[in-house]
Amino acid sequence: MKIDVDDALWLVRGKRDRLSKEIPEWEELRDAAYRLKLYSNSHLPELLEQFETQATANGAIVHWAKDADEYRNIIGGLLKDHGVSLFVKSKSMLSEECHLVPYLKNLGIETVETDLGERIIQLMGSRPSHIVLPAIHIKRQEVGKLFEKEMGTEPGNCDPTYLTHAARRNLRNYFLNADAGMTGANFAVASTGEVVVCTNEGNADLGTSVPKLQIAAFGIDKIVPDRESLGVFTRLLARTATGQPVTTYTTHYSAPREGSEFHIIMVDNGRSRILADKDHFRLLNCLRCGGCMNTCPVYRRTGGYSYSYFIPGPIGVNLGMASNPEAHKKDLSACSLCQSCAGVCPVKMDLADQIYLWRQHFHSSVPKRILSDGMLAVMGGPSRLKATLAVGHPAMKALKACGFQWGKGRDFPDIANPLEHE
Amino acid sequence: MKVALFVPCYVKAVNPEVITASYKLLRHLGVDVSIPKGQTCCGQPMGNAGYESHTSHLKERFENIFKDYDVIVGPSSSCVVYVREHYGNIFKGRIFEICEYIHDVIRPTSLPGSFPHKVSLHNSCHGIRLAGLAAPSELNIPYFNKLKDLLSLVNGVEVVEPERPDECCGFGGLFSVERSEVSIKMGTDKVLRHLETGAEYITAADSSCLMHQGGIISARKLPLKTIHIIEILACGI
Amino acid sequence: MSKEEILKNLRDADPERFPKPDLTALKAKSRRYDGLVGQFRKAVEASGGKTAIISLEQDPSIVAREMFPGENSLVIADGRFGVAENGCVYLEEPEAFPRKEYFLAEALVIVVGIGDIVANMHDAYDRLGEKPSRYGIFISGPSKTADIEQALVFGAHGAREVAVLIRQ
Repeated sequence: MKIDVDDALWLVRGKRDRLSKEIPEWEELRDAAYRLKLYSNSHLPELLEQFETQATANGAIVHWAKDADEYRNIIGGLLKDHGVSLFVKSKSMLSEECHLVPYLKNLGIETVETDLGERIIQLMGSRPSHIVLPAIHIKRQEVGKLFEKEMGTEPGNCDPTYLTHAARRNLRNYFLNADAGMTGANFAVASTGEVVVCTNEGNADLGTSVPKLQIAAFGIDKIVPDRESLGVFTRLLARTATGQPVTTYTTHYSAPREGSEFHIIMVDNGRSRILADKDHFRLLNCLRCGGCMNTCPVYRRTGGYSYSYFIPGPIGVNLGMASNPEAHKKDLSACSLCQSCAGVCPVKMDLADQIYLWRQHFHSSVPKRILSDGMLAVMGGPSRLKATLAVGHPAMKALKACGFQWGKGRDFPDIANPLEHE
Repeated sequence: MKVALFVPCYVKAVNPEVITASYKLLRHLGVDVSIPKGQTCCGQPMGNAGYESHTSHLKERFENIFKDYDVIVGPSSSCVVYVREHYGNIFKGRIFEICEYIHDVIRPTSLPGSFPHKVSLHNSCHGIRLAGLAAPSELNIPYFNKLKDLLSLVNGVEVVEPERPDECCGFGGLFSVERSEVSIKMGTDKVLRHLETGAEYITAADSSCLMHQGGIISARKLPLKTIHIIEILACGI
Repeated sequence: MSKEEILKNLRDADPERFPKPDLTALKAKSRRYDGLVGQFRKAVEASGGKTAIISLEQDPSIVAREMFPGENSLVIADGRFGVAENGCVYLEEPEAFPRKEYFLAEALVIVVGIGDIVANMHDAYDRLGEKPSRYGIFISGPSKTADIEQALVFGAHGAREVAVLIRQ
């Protein structure tokens, strides 16, 4: 039971291509987004304080968290203070980054993931394999079996519409009875103090429309200067992520609902360290759209679980290195430097060039060094190259004759006879 | 004007006909090209693997060999781009991928040869995304393809492109060894898409991609051949 | 205080300070549409919604009932303006109309004035300006998901059906 993630994501990439080509000024939009992000990330202290002032004036309560610990403690504290036992949350990469759900479980708080893909993953006890399409690798039959057990759906019925609507009914109960709801943020607007959340399902919207406590938590790199800049980002985001002109819901949260509280948590957790890294600070541009995964030929063929960092694909390789290089340097090999990601990225991150840079300082494997030095030895000078060819020509012939291959399913090339070509 | 032909090491090792063809083609087009002696690797495979710092002697050699030439032309876009981007400013503006040079600078309106075959064009990653040989599918820019333009000057050749015309074939230097399994999967997908076009040949401006795909063709005994684009452009010279 | 520590770390990072880009030229050359209403309807329908043009005299609730006969969970809301390029409509949260109604309804019908359609999101945010509202949302068609094998399904959590009535 395996799904062809390559074909599925290539279709998404194709939709992205078609939609991007409906906008004649697409490349200028990407350039504007790139420059807006460079501006906002290089002016974070001012913009964060402006956001805090505005959000406070709107009636929200703003918290600052320097790391994952503090982020978890703030959320745990809020939920305890409000006597929350059922907590609904929408998809947030930050919550994965900071391992929120297991922490809350230890506090005795039941967290229900409400994005359909995330819910499937949660019920399976698994982890997302893609940041926008978390269950992309799971077959409908598996979802059918899961929902039969968890939601009592008809045995054997694995029609996506049927299963989606079963989840809709099932999750409604949670939405209507939750004590608190949480979202991440796609953007936090400094000029207005509002948090912008983009979703298709409406789970974030339902989850924040009923409970008395709303929490929005985001990394400080989500700050954008103003609404004017949202015009740029909202034209790029969904087109790149899923090949839609815009997400179904683009919601701007400013004030708490009547009779409820709205808490906003701004989280550093290593971002200020990335900002200080002259080679890699542009990683803070990332919108978490997943576009680089959809286009990455390695990701499409190996899937999200082949990476050690929880965010896979080109951006994940880079963010993993920025977070803990020794733990994630093996992921550096998952790149053929094809550069497709750089052309897709809506904020023009040079993801492949950055992987090249990481590779200069962190080596993914010892054999690679032996290979590299070996090549250096045999190619490293004209006389050596000549000798290599002289030996390589018959040696390669002999190897091939004995059935040796350059990996399974690929033959070695023939080495030219140096006597014939001078 | 002094023009040098840059002979990438692996082209010399696995595809030396490309050097001869490049030389003949440039001469035919009136370029006073010479092949400087003592050439070897530019350091790209080591750099991509993370060992650029081990290659300073290669850079030094390359600089010494080529520093007095006005123009350097090489039949491998990834090597050319590597020198362009990793050798500081010393060769910027005067090192060209050979098709780029012929297309943009010499601008021939005809070529003498004829190649009555159907060829599937492999748009290599570094050729199109870094050397600018064609408009990459990711970007919303006006379509162009310098390789197709040049091939159209050759009589009889029918040029097609595979589905996903600029997806990576999975060579990637040491990627092909370190991540051998996925590299071969990518290469196999690519070769099968070329095969579906009904072409007899895969052609490209990069011998490395052709070497990798050739290995897959050979292992699977597929009815396809690989040929460097310069060999097609130079046929009949 | 973590706030002070974070701000200090950010200042200590001392990044190159990039200027704020001027978006005037980009906005001026952004794509325009001949026939805003036609493009808007096309975009709403592409997002899975329905559209109709109604006259000033027509009662939206009657039109809505005709569009979704037998639907018990139907909510009619006022949109401030629509966006031609992507088919979304901007709504706020009027008093006595809690926002949850937008999402709990099975069918959501949004009324928007025919003169209140802008070309794209640049125009949309220019229209909103930089003054915060308590709550604002762009809605484009029905709630949807493709989380099961990339098959598009309407009605994930929010309204299964959306119609936009364009009022003359």
